[in-house]
Amino acid sequence: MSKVLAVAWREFKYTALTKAFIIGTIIFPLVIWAGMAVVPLLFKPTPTVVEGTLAIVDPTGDVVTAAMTILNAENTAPDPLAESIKAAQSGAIDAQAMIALANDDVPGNPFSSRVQFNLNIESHADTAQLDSLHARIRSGDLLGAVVLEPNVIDEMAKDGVTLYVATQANPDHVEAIRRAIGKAIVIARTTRAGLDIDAIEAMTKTPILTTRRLTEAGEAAAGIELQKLLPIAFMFLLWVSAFASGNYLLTSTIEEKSNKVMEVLLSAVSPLQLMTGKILGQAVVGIMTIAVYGMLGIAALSFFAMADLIQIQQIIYLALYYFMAYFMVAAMMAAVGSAVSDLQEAHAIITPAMMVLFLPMILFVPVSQSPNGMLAVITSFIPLLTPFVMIIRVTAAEPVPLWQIVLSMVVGFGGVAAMIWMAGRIFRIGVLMYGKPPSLLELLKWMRYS
Amino acid sequence: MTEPSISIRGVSKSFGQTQAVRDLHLDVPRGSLCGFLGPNGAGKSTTIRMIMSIIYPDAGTIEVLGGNALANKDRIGYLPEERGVYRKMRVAEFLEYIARLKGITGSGVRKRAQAWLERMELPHVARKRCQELSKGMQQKVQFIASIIHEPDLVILDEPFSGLDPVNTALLSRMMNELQQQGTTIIFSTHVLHQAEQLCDRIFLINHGVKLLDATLEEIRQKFDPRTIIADPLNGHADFTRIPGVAAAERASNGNGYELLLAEGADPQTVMREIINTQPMRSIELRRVTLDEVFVQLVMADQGAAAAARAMEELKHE
Repeated sequence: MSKVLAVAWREFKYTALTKAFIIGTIIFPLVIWAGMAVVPLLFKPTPTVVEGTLAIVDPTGDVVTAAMTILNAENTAPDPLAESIKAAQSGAIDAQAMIALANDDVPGNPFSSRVQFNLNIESHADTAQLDSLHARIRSGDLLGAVVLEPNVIDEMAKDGVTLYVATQANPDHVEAIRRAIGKAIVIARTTRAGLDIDAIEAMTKTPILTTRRLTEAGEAAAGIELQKLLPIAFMFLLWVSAFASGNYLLTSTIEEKSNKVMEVLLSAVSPLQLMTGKILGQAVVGIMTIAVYGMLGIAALSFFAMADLIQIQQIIYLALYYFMAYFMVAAMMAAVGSAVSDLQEAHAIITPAMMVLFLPMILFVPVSQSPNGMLAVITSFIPLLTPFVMIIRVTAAEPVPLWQIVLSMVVGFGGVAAMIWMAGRIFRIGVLMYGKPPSLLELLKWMRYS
Repeated sequence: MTEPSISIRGVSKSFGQTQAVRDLHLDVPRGSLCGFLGPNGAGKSTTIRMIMSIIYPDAGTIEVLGGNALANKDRIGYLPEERGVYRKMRVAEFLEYIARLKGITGSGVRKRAQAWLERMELPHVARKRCQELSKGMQQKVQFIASIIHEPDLVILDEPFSGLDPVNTALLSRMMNELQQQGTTIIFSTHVLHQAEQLCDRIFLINHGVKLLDATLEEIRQKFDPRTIIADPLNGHADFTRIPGVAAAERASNGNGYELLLAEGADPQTVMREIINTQPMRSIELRRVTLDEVFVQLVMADQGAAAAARAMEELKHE
């Protein structure tokens, strides 16, 4: 046993305590996480300023007045993103509301192509000078000209407004002007009808609905969106860590073969001891990966005061299904790694199995939408898929029947036992084979050797 | 004498159509330093791997240290032909790791590794990564790895290949020292004269068949020399007229002649006769070399054509 532990420790040390691993697994996600906080700032566009002179041909004169009002008012609105994050942190609103608020199309929203106005409005009562306006637009003297038919205000006509701009006009600016003029027309119409536009807007704006979850301790913000994402996050965590450490196992086994240290090792330990040690060592690497990513996830949830969304039994399930997933992948990787001489040969053999193992990446959509649907139930009992499908189901909102959980454990760990047995059979032959890589058929033959 | 360290009884092994080892019987006496000789592809490594229970014989039995090699792994040191190191591991750490796998625990491991590195004239490499060492240095580290746990039996597969003469001498010295401490050593080589200087016992195999199993003394007695080197004072002479000389050829170094003795001729009589017939600068009876023994054995076993082939094989090495 001490030999197995010595192998496991070396495997762990030379995988996890290396610069490459620490940078790749620990620092990289930290950078990503920090990046999520910083990136929105990078994407926040510096507002471009629409400058110049805009001619408005408005027989009623009302639109010009309204336009002047809104163009001034738009420059002083608060930044909704900062406001919404502050609100979410304090637990006042949930994530859904936060997203809605942040995306609200108001000035300062980092994701809207916001512009500021610094326009001179040139008012015309009729189209007498239209030709000269056109000429001035072409020459660049005028930014544009809006021509309104009187019925736009009088009869609420749906068309009858034209905006003339130069060919090379900035499309963002054109869009901004269109919106401002549109709003000015609405204001002109309501004013004409004797109504208060602010009152109408206030009345028609859907209020933000806050959902509160009642927890043991009190109440907290309800992360409806996050709750939906949680099972998928769990599955990805499982998948990524099982594959990452499986891959390390593959590489380290191939390395031992290709640098010929294998026979030295086998003079001291049996192939089975070697394989067991390596698999255990990498299991710890995987657990560490899960722990790092999981803690980051929990830290992110705590940031929004939603860490209580994760329950202790979900973590237990994660651990159980992680071992199931990891040992399946690891057994496969150890067997293949022992049988080949380089990574390319390994990929040729491993591709068919990888296709099955990539299925969770497609399955997570229907399974998370319908955790107790036919597809979810059937795929729960296919050994290579069991841990990935089940982790989605047990972390989703709909409860999974107990018998299915028990059966999945039986099927999954049964599969693990079978795969480790097969891997052991292949490993003991494979480690000493050099030269041409074996075919899948030959691998099956090796299993039958006594 | 006590029971042998290794006892091989009727072992055969085939790989597909190729029979690597045929009905091999062998005893390695305890405390001996045995050379396991034969040209490339003779079946040496296959036999060694079977002794180590890395592969298994198709037929026959092998006993190592009174049991099965797997059960006695920690008492055996093994330097495989296909040997390597973890490139990224530090030398001392690599040696400690192997020692641990060999069942050595406790804090003395590091000291022991350091002491061996010094004995093998590698004093400043402990903290270096294995990949920073030259091939020869790596090989010395691998040798240490095979004996760091103070085994009763050491099996070295081609330990000298790739070593320069200085390190070859160093390694030979270490092997002698180990033998004096009571360790049984068996090493394979395809360079036969290396074994002549080192071993007290020799096994010679070719194409999977044992040709010879004897001590060096026995070999020298059994294979009496059949060649006389004669350098006449006047530069040339016709030696074929002398009774007992079957053939005479110019020596390959240009000095004198190599005279092959006829069947049944007594070397002493022939040499006296030569000195009596003409003035000589020098005359000597050449010692038998293992190469010659090998060729003679192949000749006796498989005929002249095989012997010629074997001679070619030896020349190439």
